[in-house]
Amino acid sequence: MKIIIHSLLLSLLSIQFVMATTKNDVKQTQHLQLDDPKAISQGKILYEQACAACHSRDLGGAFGFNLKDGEWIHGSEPQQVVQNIKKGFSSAGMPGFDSMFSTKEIKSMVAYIFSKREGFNNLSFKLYQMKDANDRVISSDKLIKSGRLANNLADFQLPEVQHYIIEFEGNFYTPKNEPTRAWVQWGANTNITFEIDGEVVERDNRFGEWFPTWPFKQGKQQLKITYRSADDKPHMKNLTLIVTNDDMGIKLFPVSTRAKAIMLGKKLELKATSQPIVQRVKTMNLPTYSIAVGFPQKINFAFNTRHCSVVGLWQGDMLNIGPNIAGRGEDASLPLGEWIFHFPSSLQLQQEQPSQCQYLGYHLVAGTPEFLYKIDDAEYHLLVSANNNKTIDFHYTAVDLANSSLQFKLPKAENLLWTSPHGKVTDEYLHVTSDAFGKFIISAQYQ
Amino acid sequence: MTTKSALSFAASLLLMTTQGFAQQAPTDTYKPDGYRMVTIETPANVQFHIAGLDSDANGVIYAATRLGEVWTLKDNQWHKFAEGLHEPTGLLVDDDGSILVAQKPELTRLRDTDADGVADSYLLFTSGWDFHDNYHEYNFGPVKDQMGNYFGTLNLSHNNPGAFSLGTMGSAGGYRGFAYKVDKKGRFQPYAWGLRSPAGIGANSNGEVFITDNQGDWVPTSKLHLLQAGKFYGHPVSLIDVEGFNKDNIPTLSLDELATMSEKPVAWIPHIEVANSPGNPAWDTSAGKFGPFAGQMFISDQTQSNIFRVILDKVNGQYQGAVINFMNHFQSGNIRLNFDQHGQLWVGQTADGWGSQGGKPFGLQKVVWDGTNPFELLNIELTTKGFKLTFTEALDPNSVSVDSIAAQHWHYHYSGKYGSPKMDLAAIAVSKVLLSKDGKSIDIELPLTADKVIQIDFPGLRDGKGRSVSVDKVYYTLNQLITDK
Repeated sequence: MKIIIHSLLLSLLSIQFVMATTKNDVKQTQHLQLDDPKAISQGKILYEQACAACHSRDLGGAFGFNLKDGEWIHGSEPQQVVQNIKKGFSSAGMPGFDSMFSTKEIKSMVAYIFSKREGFNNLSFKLYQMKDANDRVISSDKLIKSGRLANNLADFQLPEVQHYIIEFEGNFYTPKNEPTRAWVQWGANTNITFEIDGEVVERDNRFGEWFPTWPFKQGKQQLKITYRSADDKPHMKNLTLIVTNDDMGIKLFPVSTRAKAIMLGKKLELKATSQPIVQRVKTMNLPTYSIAVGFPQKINFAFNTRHCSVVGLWQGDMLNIGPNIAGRGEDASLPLGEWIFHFPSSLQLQQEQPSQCQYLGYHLVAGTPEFLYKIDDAEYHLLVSANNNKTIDFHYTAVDLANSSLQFKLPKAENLLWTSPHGKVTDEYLHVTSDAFGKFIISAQYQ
Repeated sequence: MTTKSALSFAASLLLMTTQGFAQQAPTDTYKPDGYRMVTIETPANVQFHIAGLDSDANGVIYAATRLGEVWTLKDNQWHKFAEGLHEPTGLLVDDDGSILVAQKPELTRLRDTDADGVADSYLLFTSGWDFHDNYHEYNFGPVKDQMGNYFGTLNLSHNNPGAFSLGTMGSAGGYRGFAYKVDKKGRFQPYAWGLRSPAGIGANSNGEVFITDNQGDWVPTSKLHLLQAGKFYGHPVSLIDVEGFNKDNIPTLSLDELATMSEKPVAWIPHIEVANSPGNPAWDTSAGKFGPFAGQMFISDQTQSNIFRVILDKVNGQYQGAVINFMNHFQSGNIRLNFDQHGQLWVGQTADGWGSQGGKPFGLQKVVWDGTNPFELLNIELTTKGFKLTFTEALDPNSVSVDSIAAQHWHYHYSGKYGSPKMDLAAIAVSKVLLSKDGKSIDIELPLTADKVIQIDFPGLRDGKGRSVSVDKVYYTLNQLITDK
């Protein structure tokens, strides 16, 4: 279900943005293809500036509804969505945008929104009553119910008979830029088949018998799911069916109604507002033993207690820790912004000989952690400050190492400029000299 | 109990026995007279999954949540003390007022150095084990002995493809499935091994450390152990970190070899009937503020949302003992217990991911006693011919007869399968019941077989006021018979 909600604050931001785009002299055109890469790219910029605060940067919904799932109450056709953005829903807090954005701009937003489409569209189902648990033959005389599912979620609780086969079929959208899989939770003995564009997809048990998956194609495809109840007990028939990334590390979106209820718990966003946030949690792309720190300036870093190094830097809000909390918390938390670099790239002191890192802990200094550690018996302190969402300063103290030369290996990252008032950059290295108190600063500026 | 009703009771027990006596949770509410549970309101809009719980000398409650926060409760006011921790599942208020918290990757000492009520020092105390970001790799504890040493336990992993496994739980190394000891200076020592999911650890006033482990592979039913250095507690996966064992030779060990290596539990905890996922032991050290069970061990269960008592018996110099249900129908999964200075029993709760009989996902409750002496089984001890059962009140002599007592025994099958049914379940005849002079105890005689769990049912007993007990069955783990008397 989605209507687009906008707050007054966002409206003000949007007005500012319109002024900016007017300067860019964007020409209006009446015709726009949904798959036009330029339009999608333009729409992404507009969306993130005007819509993301209410509908979330990933379109997954916040104050406003999820914009990438299959549930639409004001029409799912692109032109209907264009009109909805133009006219708004004042009763729900969303103004019309027709006076703020050109038709072309709004269409580009719609192109971007549709490019992020996930899950079923035009989903229908057919329910067959079978003679017994072993009956596997579908025939038209066994068809007892059929219809459309407006929310585009497979509802495995529809059947009210004991022995049945239910088919769900419709257009299905997966991310265009990454491989994904269907996963049936606790599905080792589930009698289910997946057909994509008319071809049966083999069950893939690479993650174990109890974690069966079926790989998808990328982008739009025709998907048919067939489930036979057989001898399954009632609680086993309501399937949790989720699309994951290729290594199952990230649960992307639900396919069934039960999965949707579970996925709702997988969103709990940590955002630094007035002061930094420290959170130690399993995080995607960060090695074990990492501690994440998020700044209100919308920049974040991670310090690793086993490497004694900075192992990640990302812009935007901090983390969605929902995946690490929902259920048993198996999944990694997800950075909400964009990576600047992450492990194995890291900011690390280089030693001539293999060194021993000993993490000691941290103190909070005005809410910011100062990490304490030893490398080869020399004690170091690291306090990090953020100036804005592009510049961050690493304040080091090398205890008992006044006026000493040190070398750091710099992480590989595009558009990231490393500087230091206490040294100079050479290729991938930074050579610094600590001051009389053992202190030195390393700065990173994202271009 | 009349002869007729006693016979009927015995007949129904026999019927259940011959039918296999399926393991099932008690359907009734059990609660001793004089006890009630109080629900504590937790902070609004906070997922308050408590997995670490302790109190200080002033009665301030400290709760660590699975979201990584530490909160204090003082004068009915909640205050956030610390945050950002990695799913802590244990907390100890140390003697110096600092807080030791068991994060998954480390034990951390929290201090409020500027006395503003918020921790500002998060110093590592020890991290001598390896953590691999697997959700099941919990770190339970710490508890402290009289010498100032700390102890904790480390869960095995689950669904970790990189781990060594014999089917279900696994270890990627780094002392998973171990109990550990840390001295005052933070020096880590692998202490004992063979653990699966040892969610409960506690130290009594003598400094003895007891641990619980959850039913599953290589754990036929949940159990309570006395923690001792260098001992093996049954789950073979942890042997991967023990000298002389490796991933090639561990799978070749026979069941008999492993069983011989394994320590016997102090008490088997019958699955579902008493517990599925026991938490930490807590001792009533209130010297009567909590009623007649002073000195006894209490353990909670996450799945059954109940609390049970453990009655220890020292036989031939070694602990064995009995479990008996205490209270049920708590609101969520009871994972942590703590007695405060007032003799109130605090119950920290979380159910997310596993579910519990109590439907709420998390919470905090406490059990308080109003001074009414309940009529319950107080103690059970092994005798040369049977058991001596002592009650909190004198018994009505008319309710005491051979027919008013029924007993059965069984054992469990140790294997890699997930849990065990009751093996060779059989009724055993009570041949004699003798009431003591003070009327509070009965000596019962029945055939005794070592390495059995003996269940004794006594629903027909009444006290002088005509009261019946709220819990009418006790489960005694008979590792050995008396040999030194």
